[in-house]
Amino acid sequence: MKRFIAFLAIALLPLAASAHGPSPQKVEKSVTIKAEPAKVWALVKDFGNMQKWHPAVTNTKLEKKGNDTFRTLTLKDGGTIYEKLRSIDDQSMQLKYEIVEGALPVADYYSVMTVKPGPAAGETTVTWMGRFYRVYKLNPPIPAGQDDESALNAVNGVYDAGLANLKKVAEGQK
Amino acid sequence: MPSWADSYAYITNQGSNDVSVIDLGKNSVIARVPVGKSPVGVAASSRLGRVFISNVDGQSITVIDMRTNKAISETPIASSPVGMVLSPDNARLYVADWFEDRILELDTSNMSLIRQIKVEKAPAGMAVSPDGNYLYVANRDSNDVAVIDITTLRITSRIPVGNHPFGLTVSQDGTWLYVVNVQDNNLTAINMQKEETFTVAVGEHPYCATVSPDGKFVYVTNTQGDSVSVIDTLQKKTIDTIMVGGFPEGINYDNSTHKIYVANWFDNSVSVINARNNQLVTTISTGTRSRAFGQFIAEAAH
Repeated sequence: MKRFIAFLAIALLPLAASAHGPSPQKVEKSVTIKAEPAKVWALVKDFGNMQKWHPAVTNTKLEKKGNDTFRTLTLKDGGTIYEKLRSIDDQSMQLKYEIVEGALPVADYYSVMTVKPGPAAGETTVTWMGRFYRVYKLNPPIPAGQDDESALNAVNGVYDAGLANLKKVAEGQK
Repeated sequence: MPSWADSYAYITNQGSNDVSVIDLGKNSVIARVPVGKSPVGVAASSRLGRVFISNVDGQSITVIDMRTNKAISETPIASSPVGMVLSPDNARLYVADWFEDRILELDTSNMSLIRQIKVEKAPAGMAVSPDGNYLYVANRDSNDVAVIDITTLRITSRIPVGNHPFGLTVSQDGTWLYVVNVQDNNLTAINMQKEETFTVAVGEHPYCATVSPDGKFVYVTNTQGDSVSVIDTLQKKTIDTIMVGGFPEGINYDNSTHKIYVANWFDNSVSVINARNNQLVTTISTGTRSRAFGQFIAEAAH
């Protein structure tokens, strides 16, 4: 009975707490937006409204559990991603969050979005950086869809589409 | 030609598959040495004039000749070499194989395998006692430290620590073992002579630690706090937090200059801290995804 319960417990472990391999991947993308930093930061820091600027997100549900804030993103293709807010720093205009579990083929995903003024006056640069591991935690051979390439492609897609649309939304706003 | 009056840091760049060589007298990069795929671990030896680099995805160990700053060999290691540590006489290199749950003992003169020992699970950071008698291994997935008698290469004890121990270091006199518990945001300090342990809270998602030569301070990198925690070992608490670059990992104390070097994985750089006042001195650009996991500073020959 004890062994069965232990097995169940392992199967239910959230993605964030489970073991990973030794090679983290990194994606870093930037976009320059012709809008004031304060306006762009207002969009980025609004953790409960990602659908306002990310084209793949149809709905965001915010949730507080004690001192922690979570969000469930509903995606256009029907999947969901459950994320935990780590910090929002208004002074450095930086947002940090992690994925708890969800549709993206990644493990131990941690991300930082930074908003900075410039390069020119009236412009803002947004940098989106992610660190994550592939889904498959053991040594090769790796099952299809759980490898480094799948993880990288997915995150690159999220960042490219997101930053391009963030630019459109921020520049379109009055 | 490198000056033998200076110390050097060998920073593994997991992203650009090379090693940035920093002259610590000038705090500037003097060479970039191409190595294998995804280099992470490093063990530098002034005595041998060699630097050992673990290429995690390349499944090999590269040896760099310090005089020329060129790779002179690449030894295949079946599975995933990550953490490495040299014996005090530098005749032996211990390599932790992450996926196979074992430690390999290599002869540094020819990189041949001498012995190996199974250690579970997911051996990560390692240290050797200054008297050369014991190898300490942080087992990330079993939440303990294995104490291995080097003469017999047998585990003599396992010390439970916190959740997900990764970096491990020993004080220069061998008395204290410091283990970083990634998921608990704290450090476990173990006195190897009397049975005393204590834990100290540090910052977010800590990875590695280094100790001042006098043993008074331990410095811990907080990967998700973008900072270094300074622990006063007598007070047994964190007394300062120094902001460094994005996602700091490997950290070493340079005994000759009393500066602390930190590799920043997100920022592709190394932060330099003055240990006398805990102030950031400068930031040096390195290759991409710098990790520097292990003993990456080779002290100047005196």
